[in-house]
Amino acid sequence: MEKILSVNNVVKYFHQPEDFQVLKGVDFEVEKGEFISIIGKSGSGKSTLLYILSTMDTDYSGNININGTNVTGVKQNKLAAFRNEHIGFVFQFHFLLPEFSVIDNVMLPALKLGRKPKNVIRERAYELLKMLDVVGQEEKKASLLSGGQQQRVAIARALINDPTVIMGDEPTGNLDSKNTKNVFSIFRELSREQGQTIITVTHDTDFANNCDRVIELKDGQIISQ
Amino acid sequence: MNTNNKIAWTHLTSKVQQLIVAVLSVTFGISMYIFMNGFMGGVNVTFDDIAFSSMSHIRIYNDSPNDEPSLLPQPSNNTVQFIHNTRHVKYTEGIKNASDILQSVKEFPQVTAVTEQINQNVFFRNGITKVSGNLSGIDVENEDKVFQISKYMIKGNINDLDKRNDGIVLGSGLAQSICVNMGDNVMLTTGDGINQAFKVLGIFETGSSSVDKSKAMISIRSARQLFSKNAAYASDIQVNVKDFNKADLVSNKMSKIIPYKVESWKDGNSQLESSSMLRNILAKVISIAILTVAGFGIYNIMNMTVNEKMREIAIFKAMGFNGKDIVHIFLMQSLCIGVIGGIVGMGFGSLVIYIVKQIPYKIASFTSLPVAFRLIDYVMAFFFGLIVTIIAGYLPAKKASRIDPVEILRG
Repeated sequence: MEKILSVNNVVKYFHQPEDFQVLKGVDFEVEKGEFISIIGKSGSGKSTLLYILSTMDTDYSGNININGTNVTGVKQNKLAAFRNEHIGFVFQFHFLLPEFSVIDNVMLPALKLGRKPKNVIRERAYELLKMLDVVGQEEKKASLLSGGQQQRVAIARALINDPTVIMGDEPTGNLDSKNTKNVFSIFRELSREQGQTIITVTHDTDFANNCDRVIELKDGQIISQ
Repeated sequence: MNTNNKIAWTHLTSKVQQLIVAVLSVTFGISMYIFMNGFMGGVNVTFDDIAFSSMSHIRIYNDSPNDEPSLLPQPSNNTVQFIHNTRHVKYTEGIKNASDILQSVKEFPQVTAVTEQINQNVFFRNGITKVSGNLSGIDVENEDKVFQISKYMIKGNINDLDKRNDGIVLGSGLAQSICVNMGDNVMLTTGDGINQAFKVLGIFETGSSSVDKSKAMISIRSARQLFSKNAAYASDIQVNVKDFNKADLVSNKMSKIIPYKVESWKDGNSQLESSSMLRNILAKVISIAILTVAGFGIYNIMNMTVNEKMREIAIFKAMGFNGKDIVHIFLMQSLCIGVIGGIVGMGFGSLVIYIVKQIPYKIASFTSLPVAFRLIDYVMAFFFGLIVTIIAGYLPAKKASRIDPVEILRG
C-alpha cells in the first residue's frame, strides 16, 4: 500500500500557563485509503496532534511527511497553499462562513486553489452536495441550515479539492445520534469506495470501533494502534 | 471577480448598517476637508482682493534721486574741493513720457493689465468743511482692469467719468466726512492753489477704510488739466501680472529697461504675504486633524470587524488562505469604504460650501461669506482620504493576518 502520511518522533510543549509536554515522541504511519480514529482522554494530546498534522500548528519538533512532501519547517504561506490542496478539514462545530451561501462555502477552497474554471467548480460543488444529500438549499445563507446539514456542507467543503487527507476534529461531537450515524456512514463510504484517507479525532467509541484503525493516545504517547 | 475581492464584497454587503457608519466617517472627514479649504481659499481670495483694490502688483514712479549729485569733476591730486549745501534741483517730476513706458511694459508676457495715474494730495472742500485726501486721475477703462474699481462702486457708474470732464468719484468715508452725495458739487484745491468744482458722479467702498476715507478719482484728462501737465504725463504707472506672488521677479526684469523706479507690492508689504501663508498653514493643520479623526473612525470599525470575524479568519486560514489573502480581503473592504466615502464626501462638501455661500455676510463688496470651489481641494481631499483609509484599514488587516488559527479553532 501507498504510504500517505508518516509522523516521526513528534514532540510538542505548551508554554502557557506553564511548561508542559503534550506530545512525547509520537510515531505512526498512515496508508492511502485508511480511515483512522485518534482517541484518548481529554488532555491526552489528540487534538494537538491533529492540528500539528493539519500543518496549522508548526511549533513542534520531529518530522511530518504528507504525500511525499516534508511539511516540517516550511513557511506559513507555503503551508497555507499546501493545506488548500492536500487537506480537507471538518471541525466539531461545522464552522461554515455564515455570510456566504451554501454553494459559496463549498466552492471557496477550490476558487482559492484556482485550478479549474468557476463553472466546473460550481458543478462539482453541486455534485458533492447532492452526494451528501443537501439538495435545494444551495443558494441559502449557510447560517440558516440545521446542524446536521451544516456538518454535511462542511464535509462537502473539505472534499471540493479532492484532498490527500481529510482531517476531522470531533466531526460528530456536536450532532445527535441520527446525524452522527449519517456523518459516519459518509466517511465510511468515502474511504471504502473512493479510497479517501481520513483521520478523525473522536470521543465516540462506537464511531472509533467501526474505523479501519484506532490510535489511542495517553499522556502524549501512543499506547495502541 | 477575484476570490479575495468576492469575499471582501460579501463581508461589506452583509452588514449594511456598519458599512454606512464607516462610509459616513470618511464622508464627514472629506467633506469637512473640502469645506475648510474652500472656505479658507475664499477668505484668502477676499483678503487679496481687498489688498489689491488699492494696490497694484507693480508700481512704476519717479523716485527722487538718492545718490549725491557730483556737480564738479573729481579734482586732481593737490587740489582740495569743498562743496556745501548740495541739493537736488528737480527738472522732472513724475513720468513725462508715460505712453512710451506703457508700451514697453505691455511687451512683458506676464503683464495682464496696466494703467496710468496722476496721484496728488489735494483739499476737498464743501462749504466750511475741508478735508485733505488723495486725488487720482485715472484712465477709467484700464483702471478697472487693474483694480476692478467698478466692483466697488456702491452708487453711480465709474464710466461716467469719461463722459463729463468735471465728474468725480469719492470714497464712501470721504463723501460722508465732507457731507456730499450724488450730484452734489465738491471744490478741489490743489497744492498750487488752484480751485476747481467737480460734480459727484459716484461713490465707492473698497472695504479698506483708510482708502475709503481719503481717496477720490477724476478722469486723467481732467487731472492733467487741473495740475497743468502735458498730455502724456502720469505720476504712477500701475501694473498687474498673472501671478502676484511672482511680481517681484517681473519687477526686477522691468527695472532693467525702465528708467524709473519699479516697485513690486512685496517691497514693504511682507505682512500681507506672511498672513496669507499663515492662514494657509492653519487650514492645512485643521484639515489634517479632521482627516485623522475620520481615520480613527475607520480604524475602529475595521478593528471591530476583524475582532468579530476572528473565527472566520481562522477558517479561511484552515482552508488554505494565507496572510496576504487576509490582508487583501480586509484592505479591500477599507478601500471600498474610502472610495465610496470619498465620492459621497466630495458631493456633500460641495453642498456645504454651497450652503455657506448663501449665508448673508456683509464685508467690502461681498454680500455672503466668501468661498472658493477649487479642483485641487477635491483632488487632495480624495487623495488624503484614501491614504488615511488605507493606513486605518491596513493595521487591523495586518492584525487579522497574524491570527493563529489553532488558537481560535480549538476554542
